[in-house]
Amino acid sequence: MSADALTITLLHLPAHGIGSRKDLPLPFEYVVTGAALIVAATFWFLTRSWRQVRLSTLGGRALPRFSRVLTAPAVRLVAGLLVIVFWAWFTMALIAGKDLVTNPVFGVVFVLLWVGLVPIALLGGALWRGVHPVRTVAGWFRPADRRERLEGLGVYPAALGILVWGWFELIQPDRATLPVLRGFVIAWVVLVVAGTLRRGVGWVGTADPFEAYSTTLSRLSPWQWEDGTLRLVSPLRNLGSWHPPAGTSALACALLGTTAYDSFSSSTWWIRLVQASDLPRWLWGLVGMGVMITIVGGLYVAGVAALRWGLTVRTGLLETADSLSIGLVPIVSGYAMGHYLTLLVIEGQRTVIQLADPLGQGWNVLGLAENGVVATPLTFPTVTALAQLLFIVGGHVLGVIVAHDRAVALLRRETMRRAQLPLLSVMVVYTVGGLVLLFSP
Amino acid sequence: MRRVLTCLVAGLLLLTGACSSTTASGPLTIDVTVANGKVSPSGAKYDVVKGSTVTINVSSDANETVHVHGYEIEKDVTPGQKLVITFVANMTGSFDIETHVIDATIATLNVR
Repeated sequence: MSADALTITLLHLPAHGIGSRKDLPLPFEYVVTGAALIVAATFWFLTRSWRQVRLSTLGGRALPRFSRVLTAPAVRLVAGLLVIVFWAWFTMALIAGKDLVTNPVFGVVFVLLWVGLVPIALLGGALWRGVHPVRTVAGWFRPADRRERLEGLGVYPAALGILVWGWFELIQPDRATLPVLRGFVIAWVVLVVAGTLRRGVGWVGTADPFEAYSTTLSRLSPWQWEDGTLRLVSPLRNLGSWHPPAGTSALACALLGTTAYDSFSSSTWWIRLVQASDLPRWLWGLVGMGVMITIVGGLYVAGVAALRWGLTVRTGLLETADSLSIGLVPIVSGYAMGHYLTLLVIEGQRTVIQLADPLGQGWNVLGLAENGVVATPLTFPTVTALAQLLFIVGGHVLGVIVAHDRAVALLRRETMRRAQLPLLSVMVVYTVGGLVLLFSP
Repeated sequence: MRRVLTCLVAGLLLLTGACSSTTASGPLTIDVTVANGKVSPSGAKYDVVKGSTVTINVSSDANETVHVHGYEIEKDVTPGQKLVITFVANMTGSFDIETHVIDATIATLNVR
């Protein structure tokens, strides 16, 4: 069998972790070229850029007919039923399936849900909110309540949720065993359902880390609802016209910090340190993740604090940080796509195939089980490496553009460029750091 | 500012020339020892060209299982015995080599 045409079959694997064949480290030349591009593009842009706000309005084209189709009761009902059927299928595998890595529940949570929501949000907008299982059921009982999130709390609870999820996904040693995953799913259901019963569906947007993540990234998509009508808009305007809820900068820093820890924890230096120590591994994990999130968050707060002397209207530190956090959204997206796209393509296929047989009884629903995993992305490592570079550098460039536009709106004209310099430098550090981590020393 | 920028880019490009890594062609042998619950090597990185033969020699002071991810080779070793795993690295990608009793990462094999 030719290795390039291979399909991977996993038969007798113990349940331990998702993804056995990973991307090659980014070649060092790519890291250096990427870093040079990032530095050059950022500072060239700063010296040449516009001095009037350009992206503050949504613009684009309204799509009234398409909106009416999407919001038609029949369409909503069918979409809702499909969503419920999918999650019922998942729940069946979670309750009655076997505790093997071939159980699709692991792939559904760690790959389809967590990684899949990134391209879905970037291409399809706030789709996740539209098909959220709790929102769907809540909508049948209280159709009038359509709130996106609760006032006041912003997305701080969801940011905290991302930290808990980061611990679960990257540190909890038995996450790929059925009892532990069941515990996590129950905790999520209790958090989201109990809160929704008490406070209405706005709670979902405030506290569900998956929805908050997806809604945040959907601002970089070409779709946006305005006054009940869907508009096809420029992604830059979609993001540039957004006034993010309180806690969005915390959410973005939590996402960047956990992704950075994911890469950092596979560096030789870190593995040696942890494996030579007699302290438990989860403790090292917590410390490592805590340090990464502190570095990411600390740098961002420092960059925003250094910008505040130039503000036209003096606003609070966190308020300013959230307003400027639109610049972090493309960086988070680029990081996620660069780090996890191969995982999504390979393990996503495997998960879909496994969904044909949720209980390990040899079922072949919809004929899915007859397919093999096509491993093409891994057989063209140069193309994959170029794509990773493109995502990370591209995300950075988009982030710098929207952050600059927001800074123009907030800063006094004469201080505009100098006041932005520290924050743009922080963004450069994030992106170059992301590239170095993909090089995985 | 422009001068600083030019210097920076030039510096980075120089660094590229100096640091381009070379991938070892030909066979690779990894000698692995497991003693007192610790592995050696620990978290190492090995680069090989696709098609190379990889040999892993394992000795352990306790019952242990060695797993080569992706190639899905999983073999047991007992104290005093010497385990030899040989395979042809014919898939590109990055693969972890782990022990499953003490759950340690011996090395990552990068096949280019």
